[in-house]
Amino acid sequence: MLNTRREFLKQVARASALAALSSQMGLVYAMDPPLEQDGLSWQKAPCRFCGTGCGTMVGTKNGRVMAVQGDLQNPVNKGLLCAKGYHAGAALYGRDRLTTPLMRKGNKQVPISWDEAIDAIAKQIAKDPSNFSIYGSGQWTIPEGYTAMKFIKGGLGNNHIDPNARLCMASAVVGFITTFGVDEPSGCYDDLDECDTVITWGNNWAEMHPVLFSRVMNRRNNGEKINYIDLATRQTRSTKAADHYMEFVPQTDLAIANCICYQLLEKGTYDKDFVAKHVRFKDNEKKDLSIEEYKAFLAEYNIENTSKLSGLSKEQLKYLGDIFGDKNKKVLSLWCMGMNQHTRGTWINNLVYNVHLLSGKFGKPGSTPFSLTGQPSACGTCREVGTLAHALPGGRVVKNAEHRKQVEDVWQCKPGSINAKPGFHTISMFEAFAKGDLSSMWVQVTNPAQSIPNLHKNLANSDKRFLVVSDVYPTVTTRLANIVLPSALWVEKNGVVGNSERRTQQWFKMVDPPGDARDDVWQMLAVAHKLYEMGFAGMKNRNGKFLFHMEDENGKEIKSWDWNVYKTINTDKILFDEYRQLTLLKHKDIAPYDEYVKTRGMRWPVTEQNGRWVETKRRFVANDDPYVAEGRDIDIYMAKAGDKKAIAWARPYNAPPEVPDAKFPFWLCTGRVIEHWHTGTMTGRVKELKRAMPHAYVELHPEDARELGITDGDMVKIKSRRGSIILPAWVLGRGKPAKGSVFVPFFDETKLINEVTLDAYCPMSKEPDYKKCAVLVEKA
Amino acid sequence: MPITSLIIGTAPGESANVAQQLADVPYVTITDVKEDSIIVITDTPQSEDDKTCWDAFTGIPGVVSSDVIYHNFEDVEQ
Amino acid sequence: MKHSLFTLSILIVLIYLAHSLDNYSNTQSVFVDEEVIPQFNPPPEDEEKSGFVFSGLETRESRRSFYGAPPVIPHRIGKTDRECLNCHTEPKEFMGHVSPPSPHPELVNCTQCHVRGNGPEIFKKTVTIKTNWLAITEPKMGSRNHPFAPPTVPHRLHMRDNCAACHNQSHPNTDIRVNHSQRKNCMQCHVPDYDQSMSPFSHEFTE
Repeated sequence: MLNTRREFLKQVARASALAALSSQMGLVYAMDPPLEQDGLSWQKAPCRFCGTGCGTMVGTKNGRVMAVQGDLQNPVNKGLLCAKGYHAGAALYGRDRLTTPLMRKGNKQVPISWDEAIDAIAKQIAKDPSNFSIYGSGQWTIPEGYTAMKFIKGGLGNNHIDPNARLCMASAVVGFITTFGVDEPSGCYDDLDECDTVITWGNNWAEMHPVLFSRVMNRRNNGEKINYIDLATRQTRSTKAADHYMEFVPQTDLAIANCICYQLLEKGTYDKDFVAKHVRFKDNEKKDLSIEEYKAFLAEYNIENTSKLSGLSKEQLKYLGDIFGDKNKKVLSLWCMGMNQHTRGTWINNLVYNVHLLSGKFGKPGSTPFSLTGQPSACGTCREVGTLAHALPGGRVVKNAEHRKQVEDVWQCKPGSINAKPGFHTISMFEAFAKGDLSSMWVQVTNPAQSIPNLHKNLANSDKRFLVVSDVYPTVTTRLANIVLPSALWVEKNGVVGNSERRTQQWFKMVDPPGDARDDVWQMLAVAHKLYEMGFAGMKNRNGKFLFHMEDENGKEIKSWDWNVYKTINTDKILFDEYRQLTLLKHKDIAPYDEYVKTRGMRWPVTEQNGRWVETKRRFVANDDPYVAEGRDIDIYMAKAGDKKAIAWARPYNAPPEVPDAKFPFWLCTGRVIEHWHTGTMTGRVKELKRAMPHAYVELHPEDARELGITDGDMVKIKSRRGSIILPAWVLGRGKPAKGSVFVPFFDETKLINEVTLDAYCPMSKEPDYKKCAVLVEKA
Repeated sequence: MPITSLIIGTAPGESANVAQQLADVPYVTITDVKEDSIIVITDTPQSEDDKTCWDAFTGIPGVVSSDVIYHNFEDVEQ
Repeated sequence: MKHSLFTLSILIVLIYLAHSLDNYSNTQSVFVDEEVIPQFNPPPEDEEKSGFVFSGLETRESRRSFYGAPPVIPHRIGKTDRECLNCHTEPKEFMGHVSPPSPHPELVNCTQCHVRGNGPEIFKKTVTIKTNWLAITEPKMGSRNHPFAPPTVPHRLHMRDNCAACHNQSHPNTDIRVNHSQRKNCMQCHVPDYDQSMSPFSHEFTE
């Protein structure tokens, strides 16, 4: 017995040693790590911040958020977060959270009751309903955006609703629609795992989509060779991971893309088969072109000319052409604001698609163009629900009578309720507000008095109009408002959002909002019902009931406008399941709300197959997308002409409207840093993030700094034709702009760089260009 | 009668030589010889003998490290 | 002249930084509640006199917004994340400080999660704010069945499964040092101490 037992022990001893040798620590945990001892209650929620849409697990106790961790089960981030994501919970607890409605009386904003606030807003709208507007947000949840749409387009017959996503994704949207006939990417994040070459087109993803950046870069740990080409106008943290850094003159991305296409055709390295089957060519006047005519158009974008124009060397341009011409390379193009915030944003989006379509690098795993989205629900809410001045849910437009009827039928509003004339897009909305053509505006979940370009012009007179602002903290915008409404933030309310890869994700309310802060959806329902009580015709649907009529299982009406009732129901489910019906027209199908409760999100189109809800990884690709016709490998089924082909547009190079000259010799580019989200209202109230990046600064090239006599920390004046600002210089800092250009982040409310920026916009998308204007730079 | 397993790290190419010399140390059984390490089981009469036994390892040229992995130290009398 | 002034100012900044890392002390182990438990943690005498900066759980906590948050970086950083691992793979000494090894060096984009404790040097003063954030506290030692039993693992293992990275003899945080880290198979004796039913990653949420 003893010997057997001792022998057994020796076996165990040996096994342990072998295990220790074979793995790092000899330990493997088969199950997901469970909870700490301190009894926190954990639930899933997509992160509050960027368009990556990471999954988090939020730990709460005693009605407070106490911790945030990455969700190991979420395929987007697999347990990893970034600095902002980890501190998203802390963002709820700044000292100056808005907790009571405020009304401007004289020079002060004094607390009032919700009834008084709702009453005042309803009265103002009733007075002048067609000159009321809503400025919404890509940080609106899907039910919030949907409620706003039904409110203003259905209830008021007014199309003056536009989101801040106009400033962020509009060029991408129009790029998609003109090339593919429908919005949103074909590819998905799985392409990050498959590519062998990544090109970022003016995008600092190491700071802006950090989890996607590390998803690719961590592959290098496995010995995988990833070739990363950073095509940019300044060096950033992303550049540090790049194999090739190619610095181009601002706006010449248009020429570079054309040059790659030129090379593909000239050398015959384009994918002849793919082009013949899936691509047609059009010029800028929408006239059809043959491939020879397209080739003739590209002739001026030869390597010699493009090198002179763009500043890229001939070798660099040839390298790009060869990469795309190589059939064996799996190339993923990524872009965000560098291409979208561009006075020819739509064109550059088209041109990058041209590069991928000509080279056949489309719809293949790891080899596809992927437009990254900036905000957490610019896709899910603004683009899919259509919270834009010209749009309706599900890819519809107000100009189309059939579309209006379809939406009116779902909303049950009286036929003819929806106005056929598109409303003001964002810049024109603020211009109209400044001029007085719009008398009132309701701003929700965004901070235009800090983020709109050319602030002096566009935010003029906003304090003279009737401005309602729903927000969570006092901001430069709330300071201008007549009425400020305290709102619930993130996990203080239910929500559903959609990220860059078409993944719709849901979460439940976990903690109560502070004080008397209330959900944005409730705020709109309350004002809508007040209007209904006042007899406002539009708020009564075709059945004589309240436009937002909701019933429980017994058919009894739910008084959703009563906060005490609202708190007990899940309006998200009711609104989302109603909205679902509108997503089918252009194959943007989403599943019922309850399915999203069970999963870490699903990528649309989601269709029911054999009793299960199945998501789509890659749109337009056979065996992935259920709407691809039989026998086709790629099906651009929403192509406007009905020929199932994508359009390669012959877009020329166009200089920007304002370039550096003798008086204003520098380029000014603006953007973000990893620590802060947008205007810093949330992240600026997290101790760790505020300390890490407390204020804005101006980045200068070291040679420029030397010539101007500026060293680190010196105060520098940046002045344009529109305004000026003084900032400390950071010369040997995180980024290095090109010689002759400077960079300023826009998160600091004490340094409004948008007083200096230019509001010129892409004529097709109406998206302004925050990346290029002319400034003078001197020591202050 | 403590039973212990250890991983003896060896210098490159020295595995075989070290194994030969380890075999001469009392109470030692060698179970695996790998390129850069050797797994050894020691079965000593009492805990005090462990120290002398294991100290002998470091004296062998070519031994880079020695790590205890598993140690069963009940003094079972039977 | 400029060059040496530059070097001098760097030195001054670094020395200032070294002194500004308050909240550390050569504390006695917090885990001594019974005489029979051997004291693993205080640094040996010669280390105490060495002038090195050691820290304890309190410092560790002060660098994290909440338990489980990525710690802030308490020193200046260079331009590339690749430099981080030059020090943070083993305890390395530099100007009286010892670098804690990263338990997850395979994650290469360090500054994705770890931000500076104090902002860029161009801002002459540290900006700090008060908030209403309350954080959950650090777990202390895991529970022990009896005085000589191996304590359970009181913390989650996600991104922290390389025990030796922190629980080694040279780690600057003396409270978490362990004197038998030459044994590699930690989980053989130290089991996780979790309330399984409260798992945040429970299987009902699988896709």
